[in-house]
Amino acid sequence: MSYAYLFKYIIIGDTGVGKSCLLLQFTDKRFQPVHDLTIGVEFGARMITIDGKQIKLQIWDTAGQESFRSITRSYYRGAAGALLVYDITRRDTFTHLTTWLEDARQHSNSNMVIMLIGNKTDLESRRDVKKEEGEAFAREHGLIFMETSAKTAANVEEAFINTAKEIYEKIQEGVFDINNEANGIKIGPQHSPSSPHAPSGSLGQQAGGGCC
Amino acid sequence: MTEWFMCIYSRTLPWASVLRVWDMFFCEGVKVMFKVALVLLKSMLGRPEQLKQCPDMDETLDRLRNVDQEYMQEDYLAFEATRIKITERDMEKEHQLQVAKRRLQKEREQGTFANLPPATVSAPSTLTHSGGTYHPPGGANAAPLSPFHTPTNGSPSGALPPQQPPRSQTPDGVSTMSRLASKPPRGAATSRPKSTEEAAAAAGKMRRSSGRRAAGSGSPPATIVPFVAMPASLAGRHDYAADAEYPDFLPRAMSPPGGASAQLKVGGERRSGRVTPQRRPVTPETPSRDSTSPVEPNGGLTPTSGERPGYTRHVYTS
Repeated sequence: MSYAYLFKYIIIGDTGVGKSCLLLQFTDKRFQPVHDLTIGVEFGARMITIDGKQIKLQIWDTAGQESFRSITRSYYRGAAGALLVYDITRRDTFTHLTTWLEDARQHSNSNMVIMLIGNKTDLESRRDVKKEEGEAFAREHGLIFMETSAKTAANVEEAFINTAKEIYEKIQEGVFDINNEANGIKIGPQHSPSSPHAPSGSLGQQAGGGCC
Repeated sequence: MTEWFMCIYSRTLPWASVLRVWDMFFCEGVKVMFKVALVLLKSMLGRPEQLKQCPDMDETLDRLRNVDQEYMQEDYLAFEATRIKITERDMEKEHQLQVAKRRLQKEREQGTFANLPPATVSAPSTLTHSGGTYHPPGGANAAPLSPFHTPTNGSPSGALPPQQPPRSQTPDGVSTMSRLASKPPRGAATSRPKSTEEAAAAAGKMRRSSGRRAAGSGSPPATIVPFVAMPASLAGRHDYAADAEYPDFLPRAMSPPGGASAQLKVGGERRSGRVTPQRRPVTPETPSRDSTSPVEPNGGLTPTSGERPGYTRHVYTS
């Protein structure tokens, strides 16, 4: 299936916060209460529409365990967006966020959009990290914040789509060099500026509308 | 796909196939993992019509994540895997190629991503000089080595005679010990002892300091070298002398059947360029390593063709 842009995402965060479940909910719209430990990295993809444009999200779901860190680190590079996930029922996953953020900033390109996600809002009774704390952390570090539940699918789509919107806006502003694939953005086959037959009919019009 | 290698297919294949693959892996070593991977790749993506279904990376990955059951049956897998002719030499070549590529890429990116984690693979130049020893995890001087490193490939000391004296106290033994003693900095293969005398002195010092009988010239060492069956490609470059330094690395119960002073002769040792001819016991008639080995540790699974130069030869002396 053709797409206007392809965005590369990476999902990071402590082990057991629900990274793989978020991905599964987003790509397959289902929830597995028992999920195997992720080994190294997993992969998922889905098409979304932003501003009338088809955007393909290519999502790399990393293992949260410390022992896989050397593998997962190499996936930061070339990611346009990152979902930094913590578990609202486990404070330690929240306190580790600074380490994750440092890691992400160190190994990714500086324009990467980072979305902070407090997962497991369905377990409200066991909440250990207040929403305000998450918001404050996000504000402090310049992240977008959202609380989700991979189980009930609350805010899951929004989290991925809002991140994509942010990236899309940055593209419009010219922050991202879309011709450099190291930024995690790829132009779809029919949108390639070098192609002489590039913008075909309706897609061309959409592109024009989006730019101005 | 990381699971294929990190879990040795235990999360991918049906149980019967896992057992079969692991059998092969334990006998033949790490190349089996790549052979199986190639069979799966060939089966799922080998035909043009299959490739057409995968215009992009995610379709390709998706296809590989859901390998058809028929291609994961043990008989099919084992048969196809054995049909693929890959030697450790091929893998070493490929490895060096990839390392070189990676290094180039890293150099190109330097400046943009200045804080990349250290490369997990070693550079080819280090490989050719690193002496073929494998240090157990946590060792003080774990030298970066290719996982497929075989003793004869790219060795700078190819001029050494192929005969390996079947003595337990070999100059090679000294050199491996001295390597430990001199504690070369990571990756610096050039910081070797300057002479064999120095090496011998260092090794002797180390032996004394570790509470073992100081080895006079020609006396067999009191070192109990533990024995464990390992994948050939790993065992081929395993430094058993280093194990003696880490007594807990392997259980004592697994010491060799030859008795207390049994010594495993590791294929990788012969590459050592520090062996002077004078110190090597004169054994010009020493036959090939196969026939010096009274014990066949793998129950006859040792290949008789010269295909695997890195295969461990176990020589026990009393």
